[in-house]
Amino acid sequence: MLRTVTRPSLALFKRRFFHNSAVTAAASVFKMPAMSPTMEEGGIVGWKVKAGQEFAAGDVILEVETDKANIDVEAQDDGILWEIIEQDGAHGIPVGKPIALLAEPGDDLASLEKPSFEDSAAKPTPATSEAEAAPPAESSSKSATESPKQEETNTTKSKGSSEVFSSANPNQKLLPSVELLLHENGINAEDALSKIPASGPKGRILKGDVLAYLGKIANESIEQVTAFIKEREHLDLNNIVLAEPKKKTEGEPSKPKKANKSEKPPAPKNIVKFELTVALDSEVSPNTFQHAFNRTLSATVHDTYAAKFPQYQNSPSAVGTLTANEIFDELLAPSVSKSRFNVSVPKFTFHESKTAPSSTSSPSRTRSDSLFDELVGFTPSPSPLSQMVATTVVPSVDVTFELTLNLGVNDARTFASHFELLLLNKVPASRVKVST
Amino acid sequence: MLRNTLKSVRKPFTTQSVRFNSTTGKYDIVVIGGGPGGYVAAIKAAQLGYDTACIEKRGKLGGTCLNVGCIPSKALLNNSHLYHQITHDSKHRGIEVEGASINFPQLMLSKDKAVNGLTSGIEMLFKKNKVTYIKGSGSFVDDHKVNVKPIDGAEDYEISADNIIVATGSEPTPFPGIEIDEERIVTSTGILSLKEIPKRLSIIGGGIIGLEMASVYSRLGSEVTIIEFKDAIGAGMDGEVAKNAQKILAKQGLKFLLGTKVNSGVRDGEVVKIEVEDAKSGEKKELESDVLLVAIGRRPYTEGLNFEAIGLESDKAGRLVIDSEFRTKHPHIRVIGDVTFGPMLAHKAEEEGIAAAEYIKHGHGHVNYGNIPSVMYTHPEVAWVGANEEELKAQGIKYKVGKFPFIANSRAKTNFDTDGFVKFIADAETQRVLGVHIIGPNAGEMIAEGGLALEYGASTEDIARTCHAHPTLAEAFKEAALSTFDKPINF
Repeated sequence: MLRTVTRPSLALFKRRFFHNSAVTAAASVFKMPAMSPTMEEGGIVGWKVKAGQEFAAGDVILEVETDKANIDVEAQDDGILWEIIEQDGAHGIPVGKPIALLAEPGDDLASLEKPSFEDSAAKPTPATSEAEAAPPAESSSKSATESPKQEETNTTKSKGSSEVFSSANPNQKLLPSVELLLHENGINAEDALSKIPASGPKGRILKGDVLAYLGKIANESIEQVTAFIKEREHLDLNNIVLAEPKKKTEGEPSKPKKANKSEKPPAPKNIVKFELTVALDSEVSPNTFQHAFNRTLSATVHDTYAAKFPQYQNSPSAVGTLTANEIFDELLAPSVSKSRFNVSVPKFTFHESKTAPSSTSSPSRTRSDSLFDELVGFTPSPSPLSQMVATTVVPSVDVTFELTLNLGVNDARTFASHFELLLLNKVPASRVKVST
Repeated sequence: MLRNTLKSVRKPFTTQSVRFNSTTGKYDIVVIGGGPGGYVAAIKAAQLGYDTACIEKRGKLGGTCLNVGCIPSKALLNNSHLYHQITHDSKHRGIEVEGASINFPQLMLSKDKAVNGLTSGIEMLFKKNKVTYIKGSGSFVDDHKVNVKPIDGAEDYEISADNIIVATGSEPTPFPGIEIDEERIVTSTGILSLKEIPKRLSIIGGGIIGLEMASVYSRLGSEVTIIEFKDAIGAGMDGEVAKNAQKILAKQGLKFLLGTKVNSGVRDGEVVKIEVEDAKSGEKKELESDVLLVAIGRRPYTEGLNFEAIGLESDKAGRLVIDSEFRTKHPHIRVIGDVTFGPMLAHKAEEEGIAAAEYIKHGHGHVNYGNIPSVMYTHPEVAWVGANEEELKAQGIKYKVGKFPFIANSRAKTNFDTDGFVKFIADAETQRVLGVHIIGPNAGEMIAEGGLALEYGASTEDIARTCHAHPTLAEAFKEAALSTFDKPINF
């Protein structure tokens, strides 16, 4: 009897009214229609038909206000507007709440049964408010009455037709394919916009929608392809495998620990291990030494950068003194902000007066090395700089730390060897071992 | 040139010292990273009325894309193509050029000039839109505070923000066991600033970066070998297009070792020794090359960001975990671009930058991940958008394919540039366009029309019924659409 511009609700209303009134001669309840799949409530801008007045199929019965637009609701079949429940200007009426009672043409309004709709009044969706209509004949028409609801749940299961289709955007310029197809089939644009549910973005009627409307292809075809397209519109953020909590290994740049199979073991030669043995004066306490050594380390890092980028040594504006050549060098070299290497926190082992043990290397380092060796058949050779100095028998301290090269920067190696030179100049070590 | 460079280098440093001193450090939005995602997000945020700062530690804006990625590689591609045309493709056209030769340092300078022009352009945009540009590295102190370590060595300071957008990008993935020195063994960064043209160039990875660099140096005279573990090149390309591209590139002189594993790559003096192994037969071979490019992909870059300290999570590939609105565990911290999920493309990051700013302002934003084009700027170019045949088969979607070769396109024939074709994939029933794949001249420009078709849900007929100028390459696009649901006219 009534037609709204949305296809799903159209089917819903048409069928229910048809069956109800056919079987029972009772008035039917006209509920707030859903003008779009997302509409939850609406208002009544105005009734275009007065109570008691007859209307014909295609007549605009009322204008409904949604959050997006005001939309005319047309009658699908002839009928009589028996009683208006929600008057002009009413706002916030949930979808599915009865707003009027309708009768079939020719019905005797005086003898007509009034359906009991109060109990279902507040239910928000049309699908859940089936309990209206006339009780006596309800059972016989039950399946028919329920069918729209079932249809809807079925399609929801198979991909959610309500998500696929929406009411056509009335302001669209029709696609050339759509225009031609409508013309060929004698459908005018206005009808198309009100009758054909749209699967395109923002209520756009696509060629497939018209083909389905004409029965040339199945609705499922549209549902399937639209669901496929919609799925691709979003990033797949399900099934994210979180990285294991990071274990901070010494000298490692702070980066998330990765356990992916595509991950590599640490590169072979980007870690340079320093092992130093320094003879201690008996007056120097371990704490004092540690403090002094740490200070020396950071000073050396600073000096290394300062030597390579003299213009940054004192002030940021020193760049003004650069010659054109230096500017080119700087353009071609990685920027000063790039970290070339990281120095791990040193480990100290203090010895009273015994021979320094030769091995203070960290076990993790050894393991990763051999793991790597197996993978690539590579044997790391000790750096040419490495040398052994006779071990001592006086109080001494063994210091080990690692330097991690940032190989993403092409002059990292130059920086590291400069660092090595500077450091060895500063520290009076009795034994030095530098290995990669 | 000299003067220009001087100016562009000098300026940032002098303005920066002023800015640092005047910074008091409370913003509505702080963006960490000034690449295509970050700088776009910062400008958009400022346009939406937020007091915005953008932290960048490279010293130049534009990120990988502008500095060591898309832009410099396109400069090299374009100029090497020009050279190749002059030397190989001009005589029969009636143009005789004597003694054309490459001045490699100048070629590189021209590339640097393009890069510098664009990066300083973004700085201007920042000024125009009143985005505070902070040159330094950002590190989380807590979920509202970021420590800034200025790149000029000034003292660290803290800034705070109501919203933070992380856009720290990505870096080349290293190859297990191959040590990069960016001189002989290089990544996509080093290959863009070689000191001389290598006689022999080997490339691990037959993806877009690998093939583009292969084209550049092959045109300049290098003997190029591409080593790819998979059996096809062009990761993500439609299978048919990938095969075709390989055929054309092989004709241009590129050597392909597909289905081949790299066991090791070691620098030995001035050469690189590479041991490869046939993935099927296990047969091993030793290659020698002057330069080895490792281009096996990129990985998220979060060094120094200290995101763990404030409880942000990363996945196994190092990507920061987000929800559909780019939010992390702290809803006011959002993450966009290469450092999180999705394809690692500059234009994807840009879209996300806009959307992230709009989410903050309006609560909604939009990125259509099903409609992000990819382009490979070889010659001919390869470009695609939407689904490929392999994906549709896997999903059980029935589709139809329509193709139109450039050999039948009047403009392409006139230009003597007829390699390739346009290929449409449309839904079998609804005829809705699902994907467009182009290999051919100017494919990268033409793919925009495919994106528009996808965005509006067009059917192939809609494209075929849209007037395309004659004579243009784009007519091949129209004809390919036509042949998807009907018959082409000119073929």
